[in-house]
Amino acid sequence: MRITKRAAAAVGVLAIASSALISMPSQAANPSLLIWVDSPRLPGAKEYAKIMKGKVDVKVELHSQGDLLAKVQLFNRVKKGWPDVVFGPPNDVAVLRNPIIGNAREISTLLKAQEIKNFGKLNDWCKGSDGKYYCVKNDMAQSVLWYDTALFAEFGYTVPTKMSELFAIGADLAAKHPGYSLGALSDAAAYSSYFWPSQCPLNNELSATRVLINSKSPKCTRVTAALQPLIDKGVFYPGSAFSPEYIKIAQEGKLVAHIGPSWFGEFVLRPASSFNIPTGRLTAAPMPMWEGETVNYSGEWGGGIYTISPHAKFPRAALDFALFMVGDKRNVVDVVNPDKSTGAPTFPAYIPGNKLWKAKIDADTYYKASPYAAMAAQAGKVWTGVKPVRYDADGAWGAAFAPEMAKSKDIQKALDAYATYTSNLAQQLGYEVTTKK
Amino acid sequence: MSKPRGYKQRNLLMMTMLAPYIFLLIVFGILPLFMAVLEVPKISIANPDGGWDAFKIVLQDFRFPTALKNVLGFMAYFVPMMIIIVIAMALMLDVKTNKWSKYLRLAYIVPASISGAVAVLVWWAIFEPTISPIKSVLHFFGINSARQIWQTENLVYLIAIMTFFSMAGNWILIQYGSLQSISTEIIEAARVDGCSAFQLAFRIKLPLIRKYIIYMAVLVFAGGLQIFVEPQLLNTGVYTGIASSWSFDQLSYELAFKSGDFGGASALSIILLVPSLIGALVVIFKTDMFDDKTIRDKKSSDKADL
Amino acid sequence: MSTTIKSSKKLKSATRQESRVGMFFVNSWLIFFAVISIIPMAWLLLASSKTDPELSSRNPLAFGSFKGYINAWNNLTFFDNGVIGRWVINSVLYNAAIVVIATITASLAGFVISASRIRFKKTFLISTLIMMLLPPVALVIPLFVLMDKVSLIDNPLSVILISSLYPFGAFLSYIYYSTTIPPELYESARLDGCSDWQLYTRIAFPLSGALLGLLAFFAFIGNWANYFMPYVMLYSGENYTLPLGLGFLFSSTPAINPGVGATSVPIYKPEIALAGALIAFPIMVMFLISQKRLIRGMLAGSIKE
Repeated sequence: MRITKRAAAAVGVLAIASSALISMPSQAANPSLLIWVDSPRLPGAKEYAKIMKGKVDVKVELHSQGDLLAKVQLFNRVKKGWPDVVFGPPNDVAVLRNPIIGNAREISTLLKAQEIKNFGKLNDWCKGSDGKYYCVKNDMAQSVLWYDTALFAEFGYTVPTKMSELFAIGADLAAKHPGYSLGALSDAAAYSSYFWPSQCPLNNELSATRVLINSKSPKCTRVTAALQPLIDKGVFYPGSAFSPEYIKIAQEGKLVAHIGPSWFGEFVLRPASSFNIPTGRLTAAPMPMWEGETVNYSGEWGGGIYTISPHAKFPRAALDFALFMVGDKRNVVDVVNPDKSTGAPTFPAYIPGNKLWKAKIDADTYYKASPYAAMAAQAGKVWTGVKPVRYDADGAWGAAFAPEMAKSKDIQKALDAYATYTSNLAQQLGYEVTTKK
Repeated sequence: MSKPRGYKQRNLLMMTMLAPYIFLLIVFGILPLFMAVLEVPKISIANPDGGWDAFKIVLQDFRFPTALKNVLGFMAYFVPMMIIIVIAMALMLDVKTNKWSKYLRLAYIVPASISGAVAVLVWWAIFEPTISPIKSVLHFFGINSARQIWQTENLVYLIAIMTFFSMAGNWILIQYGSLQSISTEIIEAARVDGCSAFQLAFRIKLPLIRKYIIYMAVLVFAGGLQIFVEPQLLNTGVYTGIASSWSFDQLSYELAFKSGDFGGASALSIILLVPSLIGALVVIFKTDMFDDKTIRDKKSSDKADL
Repeated sequence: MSTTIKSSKKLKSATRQESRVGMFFVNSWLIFFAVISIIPMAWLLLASSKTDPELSSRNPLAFGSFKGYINAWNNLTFFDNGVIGRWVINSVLYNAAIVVIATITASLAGFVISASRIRFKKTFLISTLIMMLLPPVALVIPLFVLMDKVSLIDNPLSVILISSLYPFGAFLSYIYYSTTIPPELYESARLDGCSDWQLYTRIAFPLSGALLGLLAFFAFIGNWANYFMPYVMLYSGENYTLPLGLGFLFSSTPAINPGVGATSVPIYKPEIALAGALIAFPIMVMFLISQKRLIRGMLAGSIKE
């Protein structure tokens, strides 16, 4: 045993020596910044480090989205290691804000008036119920109606402005053009395209301890009632839009329209390995409106956020980085991506950056007409009843909704399964679940 | 028992040879295990008041009963399949060793060499009838759409198949190695006595590698109970979330890394350790795992049987 | 007389035929299982020769072109100025250290427990067993806290030390030595005046060929693709291992996680397939190196009784 102890002592001495080396005070007066981003954001962050050289010591690390959430408790335990600013999935802000975790700084006090103005309604997701901002949204993923102008002309359809008109097109397709599709409904697609815009109360955080989940609300059942017959007739596909089976349908030119997020055009409808819809056919229209409503709301699917750690020594420097990513020409337009394309891939959630981005997409000849107008119209219309919650509301679509859809193709049953699953999750994490406001 | 001279000195030398391992075992095994137990009552989101209630909270988690059902169903297929096929394969390989058997064994470990994100892609492709390398087999069984496969109730079989292929090759190697360590003299003697290949396998070889088989059974059982990698791979694949919290270890991982509830994760791990450990100890003490004496006696009696 | 000879001859040829038929089935089954086992790897190698659209449009087992490999390779290495090379070097270094430490400590431990008469044999074996049965998630926080106490967080040494604890190997060595070497052999050697060290160098070590091959191989295969420990302990890019770095790189690409949708990273299925084949390659090589030790005959005094 003596040897064991001695070895332990030796390791200890070594460790102390190395830690002494590491903690030597550096003479540089520059603020330092530790940034965690995922692979698509890496070139922009590295670009920022280059620009800031001599002014801010920027260290950029590659991590996966949501990585901080996994590790923050470890850092909390040893009271170090937190990155200053992190890119992550949109729902993380709620978890990070939880006082037990405490790793999302309130940023309203850091923001200049002009910057708050620049957010417009684009950063509403990050606004807490106290009216303060807790994150910077990287991009909007608002739903719009993507449609194939050639098929619309061929079948004599006009762009629907009411949901009932869209479903009438569905009925017409089923009767006259069987095999043609209006989209896939698994994963979070049904949610962001239909349930959320219809204000179906799922994941509606009423307060820090109460969440409203009710899949039987009329705002939900009007969706399931309208979709079910069209699912049965094959106009809506009950699986994932990313499944090879559905990709095949789309590649055969059978996709007439698909309500989907703003990134759908560039990353699902267009790529050769995905739907591969030919040049000059596609464009986007604003969301159709549900009957009896006054606003044609959107939902969101994705759209990452930057959060700033309360442990950051230079929070304003961290915020500057986030604003660079969403608003600076050098990232939004110029940065060279790993696939050698340039600029930000998705709709920036910051008005100055967004304007720069508009020019880029307007110039793209792939689309029959620029989809930007529809995206811009919907950007301020994401229904704000859905709030970030402390449980994994997005993951639950795959865990509860999709399996039931695959099995029974009964969308109300699948939605109920989702509601049951998230209600359980919410209770587990200290929410009181209610079915009424 | 009288000790031979120089016993103490000898022990010291033996201890020195053992020390490096013991050091690692204590510092990175036993000590953290005690710390993990102390982790249980700490305050977390799920256990805001702290305390040993963490055990109860975990057992009452709504995902626990499903995980229990999934894991037991999975083990019912996986454990017997592993033990029977692996031992059979090792015995078959041992019948005649030639230069080709090396490449056969190499082939068997190939599935184990595919891991992580790549394994996600591979399994997704294999079970996707439109692009699968075994699509004719899938079509033969009437599977034309991936939706027929990716259903919650099929996961038990899918995961059993995946786990079997990722682990079988390694165990075939070990059991083949154990068979190879049987001396040729015994085999020759049995052959001269007129043993058929089957008799040789069941009456000579199997009893001689008994310890290895017990070892494997214990680890396969514990591995089945703690199944994590395969369902997690499915879960992060194209059908994201399909196997979310499917097994105990996934639930434990989910608690730790999604809810930041390390206390709950530790509690669940400790609960899981109990059946594995009891099973292991019963098997080991009921058999002659620790006792060199009985092994020799039994072996000689086995030989007398012949 | 003559009839008896005849019938015995008949009998012999019958058994021979039977065993030939048996061997045929045995071999067919062994080959069949081998073919099933290599299908995924064959698919990976073929997939990386195609373009992403070709993957779904062409026959799954068709070959694309050599340009496909080059293209996939370029896309992998273009990322962040070829940081992937750094990850490969890290992986090789960490694993070399782990394999050496783990194999030596575990084989010595197994030998001592089987050859000596120290008292806490059972305690040792049971605690080793517990370590094998314990889910890794259980030890994350304690190991992280311990590593922080000695300032080894984000230091490769933390991963190397933790991964060098090799209970599976220690137990396997114990079984190996206790079944391979009869205790009488040690007794007689002791009577001949051998020291314990000589027991190891003269008796156990020469018989350890197969064991060391297995131990090194399994230490390698277990750690080469290990994601979890590096994931918990390392968070600076320059320290990442290959599986960790690739995990981060792949996680934000639609090939693995289509829900992320938008990405400008050119990592599609062929790139991932190529990376998979490249990661698997060293495992094959390690197998061919270590299996040389698994040949019967090198084990002069193995299980005899």
